[in-house]
Amino acid sequence: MTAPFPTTPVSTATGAHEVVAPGLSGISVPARETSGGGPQVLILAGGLSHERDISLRSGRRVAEALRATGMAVSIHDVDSELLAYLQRHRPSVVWPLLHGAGGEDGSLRDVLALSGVPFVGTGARASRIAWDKPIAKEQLLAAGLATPDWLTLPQDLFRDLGAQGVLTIVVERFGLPVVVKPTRGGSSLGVTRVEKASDLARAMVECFAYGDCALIERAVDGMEIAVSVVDGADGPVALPAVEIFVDGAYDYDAKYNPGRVEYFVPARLTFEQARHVAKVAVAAHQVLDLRHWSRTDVILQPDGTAQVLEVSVAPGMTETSSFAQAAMASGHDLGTVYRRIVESALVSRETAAAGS
Amino acid sequence: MERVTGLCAARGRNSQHSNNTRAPVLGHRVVSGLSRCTVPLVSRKLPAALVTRLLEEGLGPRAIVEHLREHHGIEVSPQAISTFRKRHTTIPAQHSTRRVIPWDVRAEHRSSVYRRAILAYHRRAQGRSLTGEERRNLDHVERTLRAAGQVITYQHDEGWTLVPARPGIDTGIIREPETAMTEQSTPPVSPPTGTTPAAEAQAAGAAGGTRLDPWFGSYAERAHGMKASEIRALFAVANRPEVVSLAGGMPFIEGLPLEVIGEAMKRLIMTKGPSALQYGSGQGDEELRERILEVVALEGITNAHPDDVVVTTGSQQALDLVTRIFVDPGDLILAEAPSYVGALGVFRSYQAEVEHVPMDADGLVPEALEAALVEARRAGRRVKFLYTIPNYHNPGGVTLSLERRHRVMEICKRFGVLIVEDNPYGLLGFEREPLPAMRAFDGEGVLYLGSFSKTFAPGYRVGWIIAPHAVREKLILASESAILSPSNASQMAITTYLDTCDWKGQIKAYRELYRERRDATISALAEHMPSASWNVPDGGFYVWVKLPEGVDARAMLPRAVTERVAYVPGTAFFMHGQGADHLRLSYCYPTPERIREGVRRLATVVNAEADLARLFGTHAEPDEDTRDAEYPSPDLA
Repeated sequence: MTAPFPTTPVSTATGAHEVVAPGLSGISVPARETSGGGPQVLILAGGLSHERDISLRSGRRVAEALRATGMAVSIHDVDSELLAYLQRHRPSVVWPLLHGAGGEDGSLRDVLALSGVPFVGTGARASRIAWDKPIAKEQLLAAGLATPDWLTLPQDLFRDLGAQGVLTIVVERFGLPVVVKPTRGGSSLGVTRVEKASDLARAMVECFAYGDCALIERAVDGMEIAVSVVDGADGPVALPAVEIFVDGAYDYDAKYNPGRVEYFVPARLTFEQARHVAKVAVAAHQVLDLRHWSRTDVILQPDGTAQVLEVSVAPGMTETSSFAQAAMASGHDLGTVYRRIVESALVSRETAAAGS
Repeated sequence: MERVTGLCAARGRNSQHSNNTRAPVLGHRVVSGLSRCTVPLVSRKLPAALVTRLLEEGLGPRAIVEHLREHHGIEVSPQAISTFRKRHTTIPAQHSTRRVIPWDVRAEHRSSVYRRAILAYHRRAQGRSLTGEERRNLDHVERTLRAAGQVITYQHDEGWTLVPARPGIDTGIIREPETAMTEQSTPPVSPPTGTTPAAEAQAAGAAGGTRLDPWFGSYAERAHGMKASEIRALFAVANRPEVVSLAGGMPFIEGLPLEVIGEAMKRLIMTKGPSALQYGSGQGDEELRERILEVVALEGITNAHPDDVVVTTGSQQALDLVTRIFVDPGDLILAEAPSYVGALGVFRSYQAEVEHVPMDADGLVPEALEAALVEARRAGRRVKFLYTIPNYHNPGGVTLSLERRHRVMEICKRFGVLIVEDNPYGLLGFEREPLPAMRAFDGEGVLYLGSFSKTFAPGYRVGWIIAPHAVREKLILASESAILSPSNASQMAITTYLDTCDWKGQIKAYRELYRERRDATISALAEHMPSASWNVPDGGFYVWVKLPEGVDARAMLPRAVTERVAYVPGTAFFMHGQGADHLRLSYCYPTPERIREGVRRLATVVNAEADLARLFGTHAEPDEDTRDAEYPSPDLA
């Protein structure tokens, strides 16, 4: 915790009042010493995905928050020097904050597991499932959670069967409005809500710019809620839900440029609704075998159904991200929440080692 | 006398303050009687339940006394009420700190500055006046807390601590302990079901929403478009060495003689430090202005005087100043189609309207210019100036022929339209000596913008405007209000460079370098992308490529980044979102081998995108939201 604010003399014997700015008069908050024996955290941020910019910002914010609690933190990009760096510096725990493929699809996590470094977050296999939306949705559906109906259409299918034919049948049989998105991706990149049939072709082209398989989902209306989940001592716990109220689409601009979105933390829900949404998020976290932290995006329909849109194993941690807002709304200092996440990664590694 | 109950004795003690005349004043004898009174002070007459209820409602002793007297005809003393409260209830006193500070403050933390601040805070909230010392203490604490975004809370083992304020929830300076975290509990506070804390926080009542930008409603109209889109975020990937970036316009300055420049800088600071590090003239350093005339003489401008030159912080600032002094919101500016993205940004920020005039292989088309001016006159629109980049256009790559220069000047003179001639690349031609600038022929109708960024280096941020007398005076005042004065240190460094180094030789070296890169680009395009078309620039940094039918450069960029190549989509260079069927390639920075590799990668992307467009029957579409910044920042290659 932050050291108590130093007692500055408010009135001296003569009644004069000194306004003290810490740092100028020599009275300063003692910097929290980073104990040499404490855990060394390595944050991986950047990468080569389309979300590199977001990842860099996330990495910086989390590093700042962790350093404020006194942890020793360093940041590194995922490039050809990473493995050598890991060998040389042997951090106690790695926190991959990469968004997009490479970071969230499990490939990097496999390598981290092989090099024996404990890392924060879901394991490689579960990551791969969570990253691929259709497969994740299938698992959620099987576990009894609600998720909008969908189609998975790779680009090659359009080539083989002819685009017009496929689009026509989609419009006629599946119906509009739909949301077109890449099966693997985040940050609303390549996501388009299609209301008119004439817009569907364009939406497919823009979606395929980000990946070669498209997910066409029924558009669902309701309250947009993001529920962050953290592993507590007795299992996953949901943090207060964040309600996202946006004029227009909740696209990249809305997500990362403050102003267009109004966030309500905690969300404007009744007790029952809040409990339901939290339950759904925790269930998603458990069904997909996620670890340490995650964020589930749901749409709460007027009839009370919480439709799960996606589950993220490496939620954004920028200034506008929901995870940080939820953590702060739960009454906890941000740095401490992150610290707990790091510590739970260390603990699970130790218990695994002890058990083997 | 019968031993009176403590009640009456107490009243007697207070009798001098009492204005109640019903009971007899008993006199001081009673005071001494009180101190020896051993009867419990609660009178049988005191209605305990009623008094408890009134205490719970927050009434103070005096108010309760009044109430009992008025409504129940019972006479009691405030002291009796207070004693009753202490002995028979657990209700804290009305103004006690126990009520104000709900948590259990330990003795050693009692006299903390925070405790005093909290008390003063509550006192002020109740409308009571504070002493000077209290006020100062409270102001200081509040200021510090708001600046740090923190609130006070109390924890048993640590005492008064500061925790981060929760936006929208912690509105005061205090956080109650029920929602404060304690070190002991495992956060998040986890109940058996693991879902309740979220729900409870919700049920506790949501605070108002936050937009995470407290100034959301305060921005000026002209700032509304200043936001980065996902296209701009993609350029962050372009910075990685794995990606061949053909997007940015960073000049290749690795060949500069850094030792020589460094020595000269050192001598400069040692000998002229006090003036190099001081504010300078708003118009710019006189010596540099003379040197600038030597430089522009190479472009045919020999009829200018050092006083006609205004030094700016890069020619980007020159553009800003010119627009600032000439353009009102809604005024019309004519620019080429396409035009320099930085200029469009400036025009947008001054809320100007921009119309694009077509170009061809010889630059701006004079007939089209005339037609645009006629149309503007017919519609009653005032055209403030024509913005043109006559040499090695960015992004077009073309050069305005000599004959057309005269025609353009003649047309503009006829219509009374100022020409803003922006010439950063004039000396970087590969084939021939530079054509004379339009300014060389007309001193009154042309503002000439120049820069050292491409002929020397961009880091010093030195550019200039050559303007006729009256315009120049306004520019100087505008510049002073923007920056006070251009950097003396930078200007003197450039003067030193021009005096001591072979700057013309350096420009020749640059030309060779960029020519080689241009050749690599063109040959790679010819080899890999025959379905596209492009111009062949004979100078400058850029190739303007027209994509095959149906391909959208903007929609294609994410795919290109996946394939590890970057470019700038053509939509960045038009005011209203056109240009998606073009893209700009810069060859100034990467080596020829990298350029070839980059073009090869780009070709695969273009072919795949063309297939996709054919498959779905789509085509390039204009960009709807043109205000987004969709070009790389200047420090990206």
